[in-house]
Amino acid sequence: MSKLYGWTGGILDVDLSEGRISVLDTMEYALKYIGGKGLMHRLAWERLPKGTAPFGPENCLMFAAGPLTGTPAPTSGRMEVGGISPQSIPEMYSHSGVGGWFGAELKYAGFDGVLIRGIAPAPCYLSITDGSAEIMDAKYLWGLGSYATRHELKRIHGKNTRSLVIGPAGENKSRIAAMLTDSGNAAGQGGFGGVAGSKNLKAVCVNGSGSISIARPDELLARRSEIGRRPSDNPLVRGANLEYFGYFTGPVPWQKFNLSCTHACDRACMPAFMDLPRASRGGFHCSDFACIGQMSAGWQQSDVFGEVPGVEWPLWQHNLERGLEVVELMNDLGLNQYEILGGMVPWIVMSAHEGLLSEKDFGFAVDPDNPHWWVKLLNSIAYREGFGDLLAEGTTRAINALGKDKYGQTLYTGKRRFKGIDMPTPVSLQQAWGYAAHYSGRGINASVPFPDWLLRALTWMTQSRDSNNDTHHRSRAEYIKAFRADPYRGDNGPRMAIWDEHRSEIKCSLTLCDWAFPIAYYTSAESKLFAAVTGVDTSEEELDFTGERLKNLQRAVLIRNNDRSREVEVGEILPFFRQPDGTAGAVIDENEFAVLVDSYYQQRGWDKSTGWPARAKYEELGLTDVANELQILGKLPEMIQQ
Amino acid sequence: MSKISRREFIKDAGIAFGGLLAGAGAAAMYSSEYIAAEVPKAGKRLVQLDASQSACIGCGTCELVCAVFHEGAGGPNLRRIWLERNEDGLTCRMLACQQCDYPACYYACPLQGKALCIDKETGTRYINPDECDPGCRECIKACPLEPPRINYDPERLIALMCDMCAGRPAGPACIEFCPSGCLKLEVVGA
Repeated sequence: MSKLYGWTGGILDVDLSEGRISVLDTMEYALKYIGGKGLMHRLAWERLPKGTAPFGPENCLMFAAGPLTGTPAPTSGRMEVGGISPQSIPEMYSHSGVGGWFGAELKYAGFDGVLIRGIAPAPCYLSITDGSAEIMDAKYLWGLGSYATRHELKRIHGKNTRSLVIGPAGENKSRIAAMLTDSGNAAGQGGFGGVAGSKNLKAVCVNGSGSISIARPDELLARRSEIGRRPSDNPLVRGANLEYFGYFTGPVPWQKFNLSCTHACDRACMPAFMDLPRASRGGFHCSDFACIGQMSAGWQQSDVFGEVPGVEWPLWQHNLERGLEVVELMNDLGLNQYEILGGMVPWIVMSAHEGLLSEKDFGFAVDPDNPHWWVKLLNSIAYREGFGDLLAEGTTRAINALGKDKYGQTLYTGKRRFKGIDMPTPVSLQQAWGYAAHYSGRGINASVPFPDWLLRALTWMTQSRDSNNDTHHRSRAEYIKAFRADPYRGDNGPRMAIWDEHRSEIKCSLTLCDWAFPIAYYTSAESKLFAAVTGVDTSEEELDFTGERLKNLQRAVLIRNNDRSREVEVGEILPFFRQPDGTAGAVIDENEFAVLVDSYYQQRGWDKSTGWPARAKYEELGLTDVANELQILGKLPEMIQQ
Repeated sequence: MSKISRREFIKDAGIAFGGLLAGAGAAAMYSSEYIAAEVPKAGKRLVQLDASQSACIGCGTCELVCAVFHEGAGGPNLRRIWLERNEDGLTCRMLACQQCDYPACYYACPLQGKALCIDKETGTRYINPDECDPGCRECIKACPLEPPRINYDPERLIALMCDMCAGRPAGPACIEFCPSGCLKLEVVGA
């Protein structure tokens, strides 16, 4: 085999039922599917057929790094986790990104990814060291919190050990259980902690001393220089203004005692500039902040963001310290912070205000201002005690079980004010596919105004989870201006959404930070970094084409496994957007939205009536085998209706 | 940039390095009387800007660019600078060769002047990887700092030590690429 640049060449294939470990050749996948999310899409197509249950032995828990992971490409330390997600409704193939150091260490140990199937007969963990892996007894780890587990793994395997672990919530197969790295980053959404728990897998730990070869080192460093910031003065006195969705933090000094959330990060992301009391928090650092924590803990801090819709929920306002403690506890129990803080607790609190949920349901009063309430609530979820057993299924499933009409759509009439106006709000903030609203004009982070949230509706519609985690809506000012001038009927909206979707696939396959990329003023950054690291000369257009391949492949998995169609997707997304938005009370125009969806499908080359790609599209993308299988299933339109 | 005296450096280093330098013998290595006359005085060395304030964000960019500049690859055994991460305390300490006035590594090297060399003009102590005797490790054993600031590549069996990117026009890559700007060159003994 010729020398590999970027990739290491192996994917661990672990069968816990049989206790067998083998290695797949990365290069059979790499050039077409890159790595990360793209690699997982292909493995999902091959190994997760229709009907695969999330907690069954046939489900594969996948970890995938990319060719840039562990190199000096900026923000390249990330990794993707995936499989059939128990949190998604219906249960379907989904994914979650995770920062920290695990992905890079996995590559230094000689692997681009790990695929774990089967169910171990007894609690176990997987230990990976320099080209080999071993299934280890986890009798003494089972039952521990995530912090204790990580520390124990470092004690056993050395202080440089990197790990992905679950807490009690994962062991108890919660659908909202996370997998956490030893640096506190989490693959939060999707419920993959529960998948690990169902496999009796407490942790995966890795020690790597190998290296990743770079095809063109000088070029890589030059690219990094072009992309990265170049601080020239003393970081201890340097101040900065940070613009964030139109809001300014004001000049604050560079944060001290602030760890970056992933390898090779060069970004001035918002948490670095928020003067948060972090030094007092062992183990609570930027990682928790950069992805989820700063939102959840800082949500209520109107002095941080000013008057942003979505920050004025009557939770634990202006008590960040308490918020940090709550986040710590969720991390230790291995619970999905976003789900709980973004969807569940607002739902519980508003339901209690409206008299829908009470002390009788929980066995204790709903009182988020009381720290003990949080401790009781979170423990009851993680250990599935009492009402917590239902909540461990996730907010949407809990609402569906109680009765969606009564517990989901009822309008909250309590104190929720924005710019002096009382805003009517649905009790439930669930958006689609089982996930809480996120930057979609309503609920938490409701600051996105009309018509910008229309693009969130489009991208969330075709996803299997909350799409705003890695499909960030970035575009050039002139495109945004044109879209806003004619939101439903112009071509620009779908064009921007499609571009962002392709860039989402690319950055999560390479891997690069889902916040930092794409860079609106330097859109060729990804392809240039990819070429410098791998030596595979690739233009921006060629990499976008790969992004299109990955998006269509993921769509094929959802069409085959979950009978996805236009009718299903539009029906799923509309109820949320019928609610008045948080900034102006605007609602979606359903007839006009149909025109927008027409345009989106047309630009994608998908059939307008079914939303399915036709054979020509799959063949153009090099996915002929996918088209053949879909044809047998009757899910391949020969001609597309345009 | 604040200047610290040699005595203060020894004191700080003694605290920072867990008291290793508190012993009289170790301190003597650093005392000016004991500087060997036959080797050029050390010039500059790489230091972390105010480590106690931890402006370092622990991203590891310094480690990665170091390995990529010198070896064309990234990995823990290929770097000449690395971080000791205290993730619970949110601080990181940069570890790299400190260009001792008394180069114990140089005297310990069986191929003194060929493998472990001292640049006559700049005084920089550095390792010539092409001449390093595979598996020898004498320089690492001799390093008075804890942990030793010389890395070891178990694949090629050679020692790797910071040379401040000698020959790189822009100077040390780690300084150029550190996103926190918390690395700098300091005149030894200044």
